[in-house]
Amino acid sequence: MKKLAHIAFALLASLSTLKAQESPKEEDFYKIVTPPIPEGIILEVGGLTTMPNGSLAISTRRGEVWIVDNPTSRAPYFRKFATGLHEILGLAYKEGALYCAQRGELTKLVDKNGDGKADVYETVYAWPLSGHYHEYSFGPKLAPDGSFFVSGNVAFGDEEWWRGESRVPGRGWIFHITNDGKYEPWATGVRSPAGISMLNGELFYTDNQGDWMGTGGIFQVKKGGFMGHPAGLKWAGLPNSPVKLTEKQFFAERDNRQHRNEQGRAIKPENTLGEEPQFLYQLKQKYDMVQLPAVWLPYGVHGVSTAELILDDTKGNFGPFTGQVFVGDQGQSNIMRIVLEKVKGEYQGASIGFRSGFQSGVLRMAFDKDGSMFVGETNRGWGSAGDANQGLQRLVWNGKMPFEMYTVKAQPDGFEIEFTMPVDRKSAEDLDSYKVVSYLYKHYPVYGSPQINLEDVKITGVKVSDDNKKVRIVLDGMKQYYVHKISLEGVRSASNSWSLVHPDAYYTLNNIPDGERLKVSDLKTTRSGKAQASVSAEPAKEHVSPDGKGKATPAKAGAAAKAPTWEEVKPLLAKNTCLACHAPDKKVVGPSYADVAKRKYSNEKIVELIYAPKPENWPDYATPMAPMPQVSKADAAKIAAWINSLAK
Amino acid sequence: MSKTNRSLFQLIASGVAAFAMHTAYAQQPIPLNDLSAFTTKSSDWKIVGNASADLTKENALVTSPGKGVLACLHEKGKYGSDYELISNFKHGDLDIELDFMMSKGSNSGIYLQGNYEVQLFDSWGKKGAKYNDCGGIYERWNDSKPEGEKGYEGYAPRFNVAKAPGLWQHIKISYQAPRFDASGKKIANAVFLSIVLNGVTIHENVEVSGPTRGSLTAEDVPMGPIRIQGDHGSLAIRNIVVNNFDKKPATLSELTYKTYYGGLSETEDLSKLTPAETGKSESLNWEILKENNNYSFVYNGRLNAASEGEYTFRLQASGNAYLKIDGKDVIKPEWKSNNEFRVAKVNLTAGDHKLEFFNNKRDGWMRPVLGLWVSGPGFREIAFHSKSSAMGGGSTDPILIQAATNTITRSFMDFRKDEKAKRTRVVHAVSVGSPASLHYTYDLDKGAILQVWRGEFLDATPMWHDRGDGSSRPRGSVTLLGDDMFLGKSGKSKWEADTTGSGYRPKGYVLDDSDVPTFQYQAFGSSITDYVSVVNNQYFERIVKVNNPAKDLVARLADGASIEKISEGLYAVDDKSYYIQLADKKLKPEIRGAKGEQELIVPVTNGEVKYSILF
Repeated sequence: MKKLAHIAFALLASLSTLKAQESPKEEDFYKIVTPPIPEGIILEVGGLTTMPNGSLAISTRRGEVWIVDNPTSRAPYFRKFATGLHEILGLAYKEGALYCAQRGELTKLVDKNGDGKADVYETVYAWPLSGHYHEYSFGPKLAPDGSFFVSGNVAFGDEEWWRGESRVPGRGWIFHITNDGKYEPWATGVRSPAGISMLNGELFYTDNQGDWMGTGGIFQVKKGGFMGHPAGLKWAGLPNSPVKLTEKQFFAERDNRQHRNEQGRAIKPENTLGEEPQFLYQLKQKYDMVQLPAVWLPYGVHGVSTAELILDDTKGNFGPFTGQVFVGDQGQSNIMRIVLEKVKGEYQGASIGFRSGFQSGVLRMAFDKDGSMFVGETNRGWGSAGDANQGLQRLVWNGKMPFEMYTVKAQPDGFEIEFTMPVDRKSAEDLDSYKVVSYLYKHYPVYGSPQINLEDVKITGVKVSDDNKKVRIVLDGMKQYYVHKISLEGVRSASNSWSLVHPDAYYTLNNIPDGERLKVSDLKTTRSGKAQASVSAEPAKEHVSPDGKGKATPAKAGAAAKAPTWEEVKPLLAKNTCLACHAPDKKVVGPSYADVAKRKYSNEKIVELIYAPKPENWPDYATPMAPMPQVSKADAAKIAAWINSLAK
Repeated sequence: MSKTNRSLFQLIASGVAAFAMHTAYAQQPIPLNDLSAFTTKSSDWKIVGNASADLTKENALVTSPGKGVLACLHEKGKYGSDYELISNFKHGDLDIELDFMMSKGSNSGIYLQGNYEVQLFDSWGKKGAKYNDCGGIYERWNDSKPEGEKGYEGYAPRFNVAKAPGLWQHIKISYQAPRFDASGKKIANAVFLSIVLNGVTIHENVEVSGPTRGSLTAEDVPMGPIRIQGDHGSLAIRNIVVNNFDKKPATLSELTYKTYYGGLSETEDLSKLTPAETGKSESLNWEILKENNNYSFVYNGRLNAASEGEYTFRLQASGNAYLKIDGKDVIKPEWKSNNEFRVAKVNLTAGDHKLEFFNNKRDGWMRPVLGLWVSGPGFREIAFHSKSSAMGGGSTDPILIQAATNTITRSFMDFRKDEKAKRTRVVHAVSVGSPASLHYTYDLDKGAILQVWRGEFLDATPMWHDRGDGSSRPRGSVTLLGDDMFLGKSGKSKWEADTTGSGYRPKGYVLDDSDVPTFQYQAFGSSITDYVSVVNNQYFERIVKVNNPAKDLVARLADGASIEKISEGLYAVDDKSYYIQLADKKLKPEIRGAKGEQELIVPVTNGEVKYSILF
């Protein structure tokens, strides 16, 4: 009885957000657990790996290596294995030794005298550095033959502090170090390759939005490949370089936009509205060594600082996604799920939300022997949605089946989506349950790109499989190379009418597969006419309590436009991905709206800054804001008015 | 890690600015061509050309004839005030700096106003330091107290940074004399504002309630001589420079201001605009403003220079600012961040001058700040601003690494062999700290020990605060050795500074049971190990072993402006800033090169180089 009352109270309390029935969320399937960590240990995690006995090895940005015995127990034991290393951002275990990339070398750590800590700090290979702060090195990742891959961040310019530079060989490169310590340049065009990863013996890496990187991306790394950032091309002509693209060839296709103002100062390149966009795929059409990302990650939605990839090899212990890939994000403190397939010999696939809410920036992940995922976190100097400076957390599946898109596969005429459980046929055969838009990112020296050529893709019909677990969506006008955002807001599960935990998949369609198209006669083309949910952003309906309290006074005709309320503006902020980086009164990746309001910009100025941000005005924030030209003028005006209403 | 960062740049810029804060005053060297500046009853004090001390022999100081160095050659065991050296000038507030050299086991002291002693002592290698160690402020004495309680108010230096006997050390003392009222009653104690020994601040704001034991006068005096103790052992002194602060400071009065808003350019002609506000104020203060950005303001006032001479202005202002005196730019219009300082000197006649200060800020991200300091002939730096006005710079909690056990930390290390040299960033540097408070930095790219120091271990703030720039800094009294290859081939006219042609390959290091590293690398076809250990808390011993050395392989143990042979196997480098001591005294090293650029080279034919670095 008491319990009933409690539930009733909870129901009442959540009435304002309650729809017909609340579908379960991420946290109802995947729990974030924080293991007990002895006071005083600073785990700014840079590397994470599970050792054969299940102990967890952690490397930190402060140069320490910790080994945590029995990490899933109530009292994990922390042992300091090595210290004094230079900002180690990766860790691997091989044949009794730990290997880590320091800023300037690959180091082998061995406990030779058997006292539980390393006494041999052997330089496997040392590479040059200029000493710029941004010259981080990531890895190593082990190839199937035990050899090593390491990735090298670019430096930035002195005057042109926004421009990635490769001051010494290896910066802007992914390089290979053989088992006998030989250095071999492997691929270039990388900018900030924090997520070097090995998936089923194949090398991948992730990059971060920035100059020449319109947004975060996941790339397969092939020998001789070029990923799009020109800095590393400076060394493409070296005798042992496998990259056959020259700087000259690159800049014949792309304008580096190095201009100076009247005072002779360098001008930072900015996004220009209405300019003819150039895309990375166009460069690939000319130079085949250009590597397109298997997945572009929508900036601000699926991350802002893409980190490591990890393959789910838990054989079902981590949930239904065995064989799929997870990617962490340092800035948004979240993890996305990546579904990959090979089409015409190249990987491509979709990014789907998975779990957010980590305490700091997600940089590294490792599966424990019990199939839970350890998550290594840090945000010092970089900022993250989770506002703790660092963290070691664990993500545990509770055994319940979430209603999710299991896979998304490209078809000659659209996409096939498989679900983790049967769908409600009626909802799945209603075209109004779906929405597809496509867009792409510019390839230019500006920091980040807005979504370009954003347009709706017409859905001509759907076909639900006999077992209700798959849907074919047939499209008119799918575009090669473009990201296709596929939204399934209306699709419900068969057994309990749940909506999808994550209704959106962002599929990067580098290639359209050949094969048979569905017959028009097989398609369902009915539309229920139901308004589509949050894809089109209607302000949330105002909740009015039965006694009428809280009801807003209607604006008087002719009165000055009133600033919108939080309830009105929130859907706009969500739709335009503003909330990925900003919160009303708390610093997240960017400043709080209250802090913006303190600047006392005019509404018009705020609108201007939405389209052309000035990150130099916010030097305390690590991540510059990207231009947001996709925000409609009307939305921007409302947002600006609301921000200024926060000024006290 | 992906993003560009400007605040980091500002952090670094502010670090640079901190160095610029030292201001130079009009300084007076005390000539040491003869003893005419001093009075002494003893023949122990002499003017000599140079001096050196024996590392092993108690109280042994050897001098050579000449001028410029003051030596006290005192036989131990004879005590009394007859042996002291007293300056003929008397002083009140004063800065004094000098170089000194202790003989082994020697003891002396500098008495300010004849009364307050800063101890000079051979504290080399002593773990920790007390009031009676080098740089200590010696205790007072009360005979009426029971035994064991007679001594009081001695102040230990923060660190023991004393160098070895026979090396030149440097001390700078900033002293403020006691104050007296018209009746001659003392109203304020004497204060050691700061004492810097061998580059490290070891005291700040130490107030002393009365004369030290063994003072010249029993009571405090407004003026007194510099007195140097001469009855406890031999020492040498040179480069004495004093700066008396006995004149009135400059004043700034009749201050008026005009303020303007609206994001005006710094070049806007304000005379054509109506100010938003005008007013008077007591001191410079940006807080006259109504907005914290998009402002311009101008201050005008009367600067009174009490005496003629060189004045030094130091300015901290966010955005565009200038300082004019009598219509001329002293600090020219330029944009600076809120953490940057600018220093300028100007000669002023005694009397009134017109001061104009302008500031314009249009960068919303930067906090307003305005600080203007001045120092000049005969007066210490004072502020012309109200204290809250200069608080916009911000600061960072330091992240310090201690070496309670043997501790290794890799980082970038910025290195500059001397002031003329270009700063280089050593990217594969590793610093090794010891609980003996002796530390060094090793360059893994060259097998070189680039610096040694005494004091605390490392400041890792530049590396671990915010994103960091990957570098750390030594915390102590640093002796710079050099960043060239340790091994090389003989017969080359010029030492090969880098690894060109050596086949150099770093192999890392292994730790022994007490975590002391042995570095390993390959070069010139050999495998090489390099082991450095602390001996006696005093110095480093280095053993480099070369497997199958090439016949013409040599090691360069030191290079510097000068290399002097002191005794068999003992060599002083760079005007006696450190020693190299060979383990094998019979080994005949080659000292090559002309004065100004000399090298100490030994063969590696037997596969081992063993020597010590004493500092």
